[in-house]
Amino acid sequence: MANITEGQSSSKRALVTDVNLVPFIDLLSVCICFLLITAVWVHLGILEVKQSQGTSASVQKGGFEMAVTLVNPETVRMELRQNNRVRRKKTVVGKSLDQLQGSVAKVAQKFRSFSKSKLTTALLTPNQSVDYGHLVAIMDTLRRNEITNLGVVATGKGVVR
Amino acid sequence: MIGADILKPGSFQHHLVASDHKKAHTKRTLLVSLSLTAMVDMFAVLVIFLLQSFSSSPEVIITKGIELPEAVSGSEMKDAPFLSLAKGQLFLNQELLGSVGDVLKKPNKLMVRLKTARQKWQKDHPEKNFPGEIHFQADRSIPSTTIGNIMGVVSQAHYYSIQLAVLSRDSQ
Repeated sequence: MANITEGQSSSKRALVTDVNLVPFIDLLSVCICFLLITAVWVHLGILEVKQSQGTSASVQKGGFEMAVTLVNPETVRMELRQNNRVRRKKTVVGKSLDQLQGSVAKVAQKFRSFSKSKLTTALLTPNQSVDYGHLVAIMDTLRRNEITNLGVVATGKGVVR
Repeated sequence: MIGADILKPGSFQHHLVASDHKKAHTKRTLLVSLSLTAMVDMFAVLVIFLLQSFSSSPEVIITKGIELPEAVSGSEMKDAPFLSLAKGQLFLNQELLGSVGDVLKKPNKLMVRLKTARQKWQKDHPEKNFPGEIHFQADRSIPSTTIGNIMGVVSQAHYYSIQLAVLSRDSQ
């Protein structure tokens, strides 16, 4: 690609180097096309739900679990249970999803501190009026507060018992 | 040994200009010079960008008509069959299974397909235990009870680890 030319002067020989721009621009164009085609514009992730026996998340023996009921898009009922006995309960209300997530996070932290950080399991019971986006937002909030073992209760048609 | 003055930028231009003067009657020469430093900088930036955007996670197709929910705590995707729910229709690996209502009324078709996928996985990985993982894509506006019921059916086909596909977003 590079042109190497010797000067024609008899007294002084000049070695001239330069790059031909045309293939270079071609190469750049190919690079840009490759980047545009292969670039990942949408970053996907996963939230893991562990279903046990079709309806409930696996519960640690003798440990704590949290029952989270999504009553409606603005209300979430949370219960801290130990060996199926309710130890704490709280209903949180938020006019917006962000407010609701903030309130859920505070209660989750309180329950975690009460359980001396043994609480890692939550079982969510959705309501017909609550959409999937809300369910995922609440699950996301719980996961951010180290409650990572999540299960969703299946109630209704289609579940073979 | 090449003298330093030979490698000075612009020597090629001088050569061309001299040549042009010699052939005064001929066409004019277009002179373009390129800074190698800038070119190397640009290549470095390109390489860094490619390395940053490189992802080893498996490629997953988002079914048309699905607006995925967003989450901050989303983790890396794994290779697993994927079930998607779009416009009231249920798909397993892009293959239509029927409407959600029909599948929930008669889940046997879905159960059979999931069993086939599980057997295929076990045949392909005879030395491993079946992890029971499945991806699930659904529109954020779908009632959550529908999702719960589908999860119930899926878990009965020994898929206990359901990976809900979400759009990863940064925490604020």
